[in-house]
Amino acid sequence: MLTILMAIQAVGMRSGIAEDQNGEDGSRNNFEQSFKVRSSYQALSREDVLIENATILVGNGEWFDIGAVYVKDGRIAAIGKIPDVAKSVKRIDATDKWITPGLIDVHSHLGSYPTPAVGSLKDANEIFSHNTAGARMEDSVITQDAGFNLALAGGVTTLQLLPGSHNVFGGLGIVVKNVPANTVQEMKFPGAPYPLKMACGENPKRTHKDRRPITRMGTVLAMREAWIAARTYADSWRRYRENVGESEHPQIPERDLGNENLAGVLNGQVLVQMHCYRAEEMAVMLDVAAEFGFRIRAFHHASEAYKIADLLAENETCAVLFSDWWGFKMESYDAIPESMAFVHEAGGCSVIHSDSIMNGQYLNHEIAIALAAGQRAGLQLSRADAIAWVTLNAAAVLGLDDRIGSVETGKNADLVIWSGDPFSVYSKAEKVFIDGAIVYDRFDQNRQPISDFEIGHMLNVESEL
Amino acid sequence: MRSWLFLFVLKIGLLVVTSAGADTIAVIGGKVFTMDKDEAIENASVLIIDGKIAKVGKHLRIPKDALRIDASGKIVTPGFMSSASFLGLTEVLAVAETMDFGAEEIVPGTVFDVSFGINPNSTLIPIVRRGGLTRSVIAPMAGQGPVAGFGALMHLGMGAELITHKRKALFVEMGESGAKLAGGARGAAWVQLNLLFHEAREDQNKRKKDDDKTSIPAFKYSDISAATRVLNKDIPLVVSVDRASDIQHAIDLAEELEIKVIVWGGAESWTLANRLARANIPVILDPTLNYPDLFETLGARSDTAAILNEAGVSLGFSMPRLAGLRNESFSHNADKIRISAGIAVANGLPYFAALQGLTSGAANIWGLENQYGKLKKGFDADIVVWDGDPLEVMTNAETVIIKGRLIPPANRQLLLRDRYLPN
Repeated sequence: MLTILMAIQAVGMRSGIAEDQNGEDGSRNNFEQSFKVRSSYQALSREDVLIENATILVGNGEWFDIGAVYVKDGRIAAIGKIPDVAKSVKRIDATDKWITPGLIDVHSHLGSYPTPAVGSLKDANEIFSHNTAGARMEDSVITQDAGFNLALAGGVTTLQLLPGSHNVFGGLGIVVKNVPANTVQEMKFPGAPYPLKMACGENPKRTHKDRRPITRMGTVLAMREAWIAARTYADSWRRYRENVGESEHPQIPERDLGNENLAGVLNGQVLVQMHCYRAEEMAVMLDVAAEFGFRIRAFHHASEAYKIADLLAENETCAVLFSDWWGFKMESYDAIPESMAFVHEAGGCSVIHSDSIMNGQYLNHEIAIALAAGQRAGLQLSRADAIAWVTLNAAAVLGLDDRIGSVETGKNADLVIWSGDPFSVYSKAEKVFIDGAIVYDRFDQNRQPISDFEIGHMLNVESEL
Repeated sequence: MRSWLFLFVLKIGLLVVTSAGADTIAVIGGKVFTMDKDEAIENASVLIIDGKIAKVGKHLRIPKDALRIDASGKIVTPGFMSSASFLGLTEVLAVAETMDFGAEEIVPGTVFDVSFGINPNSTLIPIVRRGGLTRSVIAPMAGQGPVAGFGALMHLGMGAELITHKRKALFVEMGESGAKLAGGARGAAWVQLNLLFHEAREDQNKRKKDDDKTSIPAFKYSDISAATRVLNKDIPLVVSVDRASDIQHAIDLAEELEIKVIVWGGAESWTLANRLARANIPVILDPTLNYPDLFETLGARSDTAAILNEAGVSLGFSMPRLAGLRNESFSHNADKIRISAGIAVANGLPYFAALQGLTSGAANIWGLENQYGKLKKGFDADIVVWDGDPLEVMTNAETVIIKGRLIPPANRQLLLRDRYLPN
């Protein structure tokens, strides 16, 4: 490993992050990077707490009519009936309130399509080329986006920030914890897998400077050519590493950022998140993935997921959906609100997303709409089932379901205490915990983050309020 | 009378009798929000005859031939009304051929009229009425200059004649989008608007002087005659503005010209709540806009509806408009204004005021106060039976009646659903 690092330094290759040559997760200089997020995130100040007498939706389909959650050292230590918690531990009486895992928004452009929505802040689509697989969303994120705090007040504790869908390959996304921060490094979810954003359908056919693709088949052509190039790249690096110990002086391959990320997909480390709407196209994409030996982690938007629910379940590909947005493009014309329920019923993985600051505050409403539609269609679904669509299933999309997404012992204490049934329009998040710290408290002005941008407007207003 | 003629008349008579059965509907035993009083009436019934409300109350005598709808344990309200949508003007937003919101170029001196573009057969209509929406204001979108054009009113029932009022309001977009269309700045946009009214005044004076027989009748699609109708208080001027200073200009215009103005947007209207109330200017609001998506909405907040209502401002509701896509409202889910209204209630708007904004209050704003918005004798029978709180997310509109006609719940989405229903 060290030999390679020295060799790379000798060739004068610039690392993406200055001090990371010897990181334990693997240097970004080294093609064998681990693709795990490196972060300077620190949990906010926290204390152990016992939250009692709440209705708990666990996230995995289980629930407690009345139960408690014991948070210790930022983790969930116990849940249900919890005897023998030391009297010194702070108690929160959550009578008549509900607890859910922190909500997870797996498709957000906060920070890169931030508020205010002015041109100089729109940084989600690098459209000079249809293939910007080497780009990284974390390099575009503005943390002073009011949307983060609105989402937090709506119970969102984790977000996957993705490049837009203008490109066939948009680049790496980034998973972040929804904590106030001046830098994205302080928000990045330590050790999370990296996602790669891809797109099929109408959006990537729009104009790029490099004038392709123009058709759906052109899009698939671009994808397959890119995967072939990525495989060639991965092979050349593998040969180089195999030969490096020998007496010959092997030619170090040229480093290519896009191929590096695509190779990460091929070796299973980077999770493909693909914007794709139509049933026909999702089926084609699954074939392309099979051709090159990788999995598609999730189709996003996937308006027609309900038409191929069985196929998606077989392939263990999640469907990240809107509850009821439809008709904005031909490819979303057939969307129905029962889609999430039908995918769930087929044994698949239904997930809600916002793709907007507006819905990003009301993900609990969104799953309620989907639940109601599924129930009206005659399916046996409960709130305990549906909460998974914004918690545990969402965590699975991110490859983090061992760490977040449910109120289970050992997991990070990412929790929301709701004023009532979270499936009600009248309920609000009262306290939002991330790693056991209360990051948002509706009744404590010191725990209500607002972005720098929101400060200082309306000072000259002498309203009659 | 010849016998064949007799039989023919008899047959027609029978037809009339049997269809009269469908024309008499009784919604029985629900918790009825008549909107005529502050409170609902428990265990009450509504009798509908020939498209109108005939009677409301407890212990009604129901005619034998009435179609009975059991509303026990349910909530009954008037059908809901959106105070601004693009229903009927669009099928697929990304397909320009299906978009009749507005035109980028119109003949100078003319005004855009949405009514020509409204498609009563739009697939959106059966979908949104399934959510309890029975009426909508149909707004234009400005394409060339800040004057967007004439809006219309429609009901969302069946058949080809859904528009109830054409050219019912003149819409103008001021603020950032209007400024852009006027050449890049508000100074140009507001001057342009003032000029239009000035020219309309001049035209009016000239016509008064001319002999009625020799004067050429006004072209009803000219911008002058549109502005004249506003000056005559025949129709309101709907001004899309969010920034406090722009709202102030709208108030000034209303007072100076003595015209009826309605504010659409109103993100910062809470700063002028009392002034708006004194000037009798209603505000059409999207209660979900609580973030600074543009510089003109820096002051947006969650409780705007509550503040305006407290000050006595009349409220209507419109669909959310996404940042950066200000004019592409979510008409495809226009019925979700009931959830937006619920969000307003969660942020301090009294429940009854929210219902008013969806029904009788909207009717008052748009000149329908004698026809729609209340469950009261003589009013159009727009009625919805809900299986729960109509502002709640998971509530279902079980029965929808529009102008006395029971609407079958079929729509394109339900047909697709049934096609793919898991076994």
